[in-house]
This record gives sequence, structure tokens and C-alpha cells, in this order.
Amino acid sequence: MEEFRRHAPDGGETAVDFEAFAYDQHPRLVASLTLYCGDRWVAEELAQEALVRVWERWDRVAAMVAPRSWLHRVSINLANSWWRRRQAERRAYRRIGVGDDPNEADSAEVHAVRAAVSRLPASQRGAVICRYFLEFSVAETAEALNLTPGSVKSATHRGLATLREQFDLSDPEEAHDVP
Amino acid sequence: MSRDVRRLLGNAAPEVRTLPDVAAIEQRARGRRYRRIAGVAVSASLVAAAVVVAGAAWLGQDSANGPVAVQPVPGPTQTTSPGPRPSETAPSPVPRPTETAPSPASADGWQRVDDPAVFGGPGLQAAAGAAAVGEAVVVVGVDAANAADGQVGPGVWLSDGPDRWHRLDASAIDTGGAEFEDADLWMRDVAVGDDGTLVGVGFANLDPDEQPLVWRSDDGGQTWSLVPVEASGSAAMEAVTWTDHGFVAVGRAAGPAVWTSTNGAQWTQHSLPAEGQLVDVAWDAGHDRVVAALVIGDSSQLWTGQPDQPSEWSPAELPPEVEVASVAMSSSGGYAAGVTRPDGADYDGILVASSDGLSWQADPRSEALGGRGDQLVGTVFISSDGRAVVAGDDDRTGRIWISPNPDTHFESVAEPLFPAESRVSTVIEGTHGLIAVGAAGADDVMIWQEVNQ
Repeated sequence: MEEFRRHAPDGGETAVDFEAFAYDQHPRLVASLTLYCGDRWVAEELAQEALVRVWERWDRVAAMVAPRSWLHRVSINLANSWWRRRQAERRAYRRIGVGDDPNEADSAEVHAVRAAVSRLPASQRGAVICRYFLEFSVAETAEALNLTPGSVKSATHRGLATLREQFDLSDPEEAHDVP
Repeated sequence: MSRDVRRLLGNAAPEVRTLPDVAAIEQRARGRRYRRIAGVAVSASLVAAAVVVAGAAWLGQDSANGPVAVQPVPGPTQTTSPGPRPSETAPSPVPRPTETAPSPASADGWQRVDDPAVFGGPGLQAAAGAAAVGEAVVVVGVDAANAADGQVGPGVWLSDGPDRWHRLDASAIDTGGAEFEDADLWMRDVAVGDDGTLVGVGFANLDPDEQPLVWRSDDGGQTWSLVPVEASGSAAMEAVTWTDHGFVAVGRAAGPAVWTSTNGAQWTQHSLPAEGQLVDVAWDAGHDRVVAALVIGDSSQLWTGQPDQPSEWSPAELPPEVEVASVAMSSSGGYAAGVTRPDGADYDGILVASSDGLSWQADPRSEALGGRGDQLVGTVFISSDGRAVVAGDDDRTGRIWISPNPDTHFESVAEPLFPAESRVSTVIEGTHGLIAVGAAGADDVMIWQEVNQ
């Protein structure tokens, strides 16, 4: 929790507070959810909702050993719910005259990568993002995705293999493979 | 040249420079607490993703409450426990009657009761259900005073007269001891049997799972003991009613769930072959059946059938895009009330009516339940003199609408008595008139009551 403690002017640390946690986690949360969902605006809303749930349980979340894993677990659950309802949302887009992909300013490769990631099965998508974007350890990834460490390794391997079919990827360094 | 997957993902991820809107997060979370207390089916608990385009929000659904595949339970599961278990914190009566000073009556004959000493305190206090027991009124909900810091516990407030209220503390309400040490306990509704037995239902939020809870009181609500309730997997009770066949409680498990009990002590769980969750139940005495409100995403059904045979209940369709929050039946028919978003923007209240409990149509009086902003209708009640009472809030203050008969439009009542951020959870009838309960302001219980004219 150290990174979420606010530093007092005298160099000491104040207690962990929600605002500091939210400010610290928000950028990576939105970015990872964008990769997971393929949609920045949805990611912003999902991130907001995930932080609402953290706020509701802040006393307990703040006391957790790995609160960010809990946050990402909540956000991925929310994203999975969103995924299931994507068809309904597409109908909403059509009603208000907006295309499926509102992130028009992004480059072709960004679109291609996000599309490739979004086509991965949920467990593989979550494992790849947690391991190689959020830099989670296998254990943290397992906690965030509610998988066993073995399943995380397997999902990560399969996800990477699928991405390699489209992109020329080197073997990732496994410096963060702390069990 | 090959690249590292970290770089590939890092390039594809957006650079996020926006800061989280912490005030909005807090506001949404606080609003959700109120909604949950009010039992409004459109609550933010249904929000999973809101895709904001040109200012229009598109609501998704929470995975915990969303449609899930349901495996019908082949038959009822009898609870194995012979009866109430001894409480780890043996409840004892702690009567603390307090003369409360109600507000002056409004022009339309209502007054507010909001004594902070009885209805307030640190943390959340809010009323969710109520029942009249002779002259007495029992209000149930949540009271943070009956839980560890940062959590909520069951709340019970009693009245033995219009201006005499007191609250029960944890010594009078079984909170389950160590089993629920880290859980929020929610008492959501209460019903009284024909022998005076009171049953309060709710759930323990064990995060992420829920466990259904039943409290039973044999002394008019002075003390409450937890009763064992068997449930398969995560489950929660939302509403309870008394019928000629015993108690019927409804809620959610893997799908919509029903629990029945002849005495409030032994409970049998049933399920419906449907998706979604049951949010309310009412007894249709004239037809010897119950009517239960089912919410599936942003639509609803009303299921009817014999109280002790939920597997044979049948659904009645409602107008599309109606989320029912409450149902009430009388000898001459019934009403279901909730919200609708016909244009995808603000919520309007809506009332649907039935003469037989089987066929339901939108009630033309619903027009008065719309208006600027969200009109969040959460409960409907039929008084003994045939008035239809609809209540909830308009996202700013509580609202009560009353129609004296089917040919007369709803009128909003008691408006001067609703402070900011108030909301009405339920309405009942006491010996002195209608009583509305809910929450207001800084997380306090608030009660509104008709004044004898």
C-alpha cells in the first residue's frame, strides 16, 4: 500500500486514502480496460464504476494486501458484463448515429492491436493484459482473474501464441514471474 | 524485427491524462446506497457500463444481478434445522420509548418524524420495509450502529403510538456473531403472520457472495433471532409477505428464488425457470395466489401461482421497458409500479394495473408519475379505503403520489416535508392512517405519516 500513501510536508506519511488510491490507479485502469474492451470511452465508464465499488468497500479494500488486484478483478468482471451486453450497446450507437468504433483518432496499428487483443478469449485477454501491460506477477494475475496460477500461465501462453500469428513478437522477458 | 509484447500493448493502450472524478464516484456510491435501501429496481447496482455518447447514458447490467442461465431446481429443498438457532449474542429486550416531536402537519394532512436521536447516528441508517402489528408499527432496514465500524447491520425501529418511537440496538437483534463479522447485513422487508409472528428478510453481503437471512420475532418486534435458511450458492432475499399458506419470501439465487415457510422458522427454497431476480411479492387473497415481480435487465414480468408451488407459477407479460419495483394486491385487483425509459433518457414512474392478477395494462394515471428528471418510483400500496399510493423519489427529494380511485389522477402529497436527498422506500397503513418510511439527508431514517383529520 505504500505507493498509495500521501506524503506529508514533513516527509512522513498520512493514512492511505481513497483519493490517493484512485488517482494512482486510474491511468493504468483506464488503459488496461481500453485494451480489454477495445473502447476508450467504455473503459472510462468501467473504471469509474470499478472505483465506485472500491469506494463502497474502502475500509476493507484499503486493508487488503493487494488492493489493486481487487480493483482489477472488479473491473474485469464489469468488462465481462459489458462484453455480454455489447450487442445492445451497438444498437444504442446506431440509434444515435455513432459508428461502432468511436476512437477514430487512433492509428491503424493501434486499432489492429486492440482488435487482436479483443478477439482473445476472456481469460487469455485478461492474462496477457495483467501480465504484460499491468506488469502483474502470476500470483497477482491469478487473484485479479480468479484463476489458478497454472491457468494464468496456460492462458498467457495461449494468448501470446495467438497474438504471434498476427504480430512479430519476441519472447517476453519473464522478470516479473514472481509466483 | 520482432517486438516485445509489453511494447506492443503499451503502444496500443491510450495515454490517460484524465483524473478520476472522485466527487462523482462518491456521489454515485452514496446514491446507490440509497437506491439499494429503497429497493428501486433501476438502482445503480444494475449499472455495469454506461457508454456515454453525446451526453446520453446507456445502462448495462451488473454481472451479479444480470441474466444468468438458470437450472430449475427439481423440487423444494427442505431446511434441515429444526428451528431457530440460539444466538451467539442472545437478544434481550431493550425498550427505549421516546416521545418524538413530529413536524407541523402539511396542508394535505401529513407530518414528518425525523428525531435524530432515534433515527440518526454515525454511518447509514435507512428504512426498507415496515409492517403494522395492531397499534404498533415495525420498521426495518439497516443501522450502522448495529455493526462494526464501516459496516451496516440490521435496523429495527418500533412505534407504539404515532409519536412514540424507539430503535433496537444490537443486544435485541441477532447479528450472527463471528459468522458475519466482516459482512454487511441488510434487513430488506418485514411481514407479520396471523399469530403475530414477525419475519424480517434480507441478506449478508459476504462479497462477492450473498447469503439469505431471516430474522424472526415472537414478541412484537422487541427481539429478533436469526433463523437458518438453506440456499444453494449465493442468494439473497428481497421481500416477504404473509399468505393464507404461510410466509413467502422472494429474491435471487442463481436466478429468481422463492422461499416458503409456514411458521417463519423452517424455510424451503424453490426456484423459477427464468432469469433475473424477484424483487417483490404480494398476496392475492381473492384468487388464493401470490403475485411476484421479476426483473430481467430492463424489463419485468409478474409471476403468479399458489404460494407453496412456485414451480408451477406462470408469468404475465408487462408493457416493454418497464422495470417493476413493487406489487400490491387487493380484493378488487392490483397494481405494479416501477420505472420506464421510453425515450432512453430520464426515468419516469409507471403504474400497471390488473383486475385479476393475470392480465396487466399500463394505467393511464401513470402520466402524473413522469416529469423533469428521473422519477424513481419504488413502491406501490393499496389502502383499506381503495387509494392507490405510489412513492419513491425524483432523484432529489422523496415523493408520494396518491390517487383516491381509478378515475382520479395522482396528486403529489406532503411535498414540503421532503428534505433534500430524501426518498421513500415503502408505504403501509397503521391504525391512524398511511405511514411512509425511507431515508433522508445524512443517511438517517425518516418517516412520514398521515395525520388524523
